[in-house]
Amino acid sequence: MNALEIRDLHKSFPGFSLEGLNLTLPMGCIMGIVGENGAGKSTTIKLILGALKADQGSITILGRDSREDVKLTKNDVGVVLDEMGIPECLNVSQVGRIMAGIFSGWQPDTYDSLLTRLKLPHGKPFKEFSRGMKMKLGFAIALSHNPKLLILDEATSGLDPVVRDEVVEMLLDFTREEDHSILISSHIVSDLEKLCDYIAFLHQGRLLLCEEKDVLLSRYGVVRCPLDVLDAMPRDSILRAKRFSYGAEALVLRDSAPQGYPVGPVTIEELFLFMVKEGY
Amino acid sequence: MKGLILKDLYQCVRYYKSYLVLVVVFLFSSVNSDSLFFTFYPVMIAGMIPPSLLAYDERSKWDLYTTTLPVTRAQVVSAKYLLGLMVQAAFLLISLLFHTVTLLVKGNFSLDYLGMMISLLTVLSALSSSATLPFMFKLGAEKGRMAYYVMIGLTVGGIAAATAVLQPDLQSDIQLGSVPAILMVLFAGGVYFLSWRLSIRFYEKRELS
Repeated sequence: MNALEIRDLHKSFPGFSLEGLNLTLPMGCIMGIVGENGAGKSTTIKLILGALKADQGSITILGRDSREDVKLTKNDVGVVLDEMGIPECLNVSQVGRIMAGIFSGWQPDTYDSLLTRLKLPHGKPFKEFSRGMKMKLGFAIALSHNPKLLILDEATSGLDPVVRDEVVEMLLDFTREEDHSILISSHIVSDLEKLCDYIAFLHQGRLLLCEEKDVLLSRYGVVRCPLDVLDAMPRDSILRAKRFSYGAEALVLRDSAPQGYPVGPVTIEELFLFMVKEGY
Repeated sequence: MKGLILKDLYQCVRYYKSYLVLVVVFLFSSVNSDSLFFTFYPVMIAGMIPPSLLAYDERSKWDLYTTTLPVTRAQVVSAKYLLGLMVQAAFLLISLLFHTVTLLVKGNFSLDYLGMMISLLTVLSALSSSATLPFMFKLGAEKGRMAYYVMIGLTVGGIAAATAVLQPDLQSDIQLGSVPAILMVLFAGGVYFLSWRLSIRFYEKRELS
């Protein structure tokens, strides 16, 4: 069973449309959705959650249609959104009591230990929390009802390096269970590169690619060379190229790279930038 | 749904406890006033609380956050209506207790008068939120609020008209258990029920972003 399956998903707004999105997140894996602001990452996650209604297509979460038995499905899903929607006047103890009345599998002991581990004060109202503290509370809630799937929308954006490190550690802890999966969207590609098994590139509402990270890194490479060397390379061997005043970088498939040119490794961030930028 | 109501109750305590002082002031003001405004206003405040909480939810993005929780849209709506019933019942009870004591102290206690009060207060409290919530669930807090102001204007106008028409006959024509009083309470319940169903229908179709 897959943790998440998205088939032929369409959603249109004035000025933006998500077109025919297909994604599969296998159970036990971490998938990162990479895309610039406005690429459709949050729209995709809102469609998964049912906040938005799809024009077409289907979403299956942990083997269940996302539109059926919402309560059962979401008891198994933990979500951290970019902006935590906790009422400002509440403190973490009150939030814990509220969530105990919402999640059937709420674990107060887990919640308390996460609050302690993340150093979140019990009596302080949410409005006095820093962004880092708010996101930490989001993770504490998302992880305290024994979820099988975590969905994170820009959850690490705007966090300082210390908090981000704590968050990454928690996520790695979470995925030690083999039936635990994570879908994480971010425009901070370096975070995803550390965590993810699968990478999906979204650009202007279209899926550019979705592949295992290791496959991407082994399939693609970069040739760094002077401009005249780039011009001499066979055109059909170059997927994308960037020209600078001091030289050029060409994205190539390692299998079909032109002979005699040294092919260096490509990072996920470089690959994404090559993919989204026009150029030969 | 228990958690949704608990969250609303926490917010009620935090945001509206000062309203209780206002209610007491208004109730005491009603002792020496011929106008029913001081009697009706506290209950109308109770009717304002669910729409106001809905606006707070939207501002804090709780409405979007509920899509991450194992609750249905119908439960989100139902929690607000249930809270409305609880708050309005509490305010109604406070008003009735106060008026009972006042009437007893003044020596003109009348079950007929109390019956009339129950029916009128029930109608007022039910109408003030019933008319507003469907608009807010459909359009969001800002646009829904405009509908709310229109509704308040109509309600206040209705009070003025009802006062002018009914006050001379309050203690003689309307009796507890009489058909008009029962009809008014049933009418209020019916409107509240229809409003609830309508809000669910609207909210299930609404897109949250």
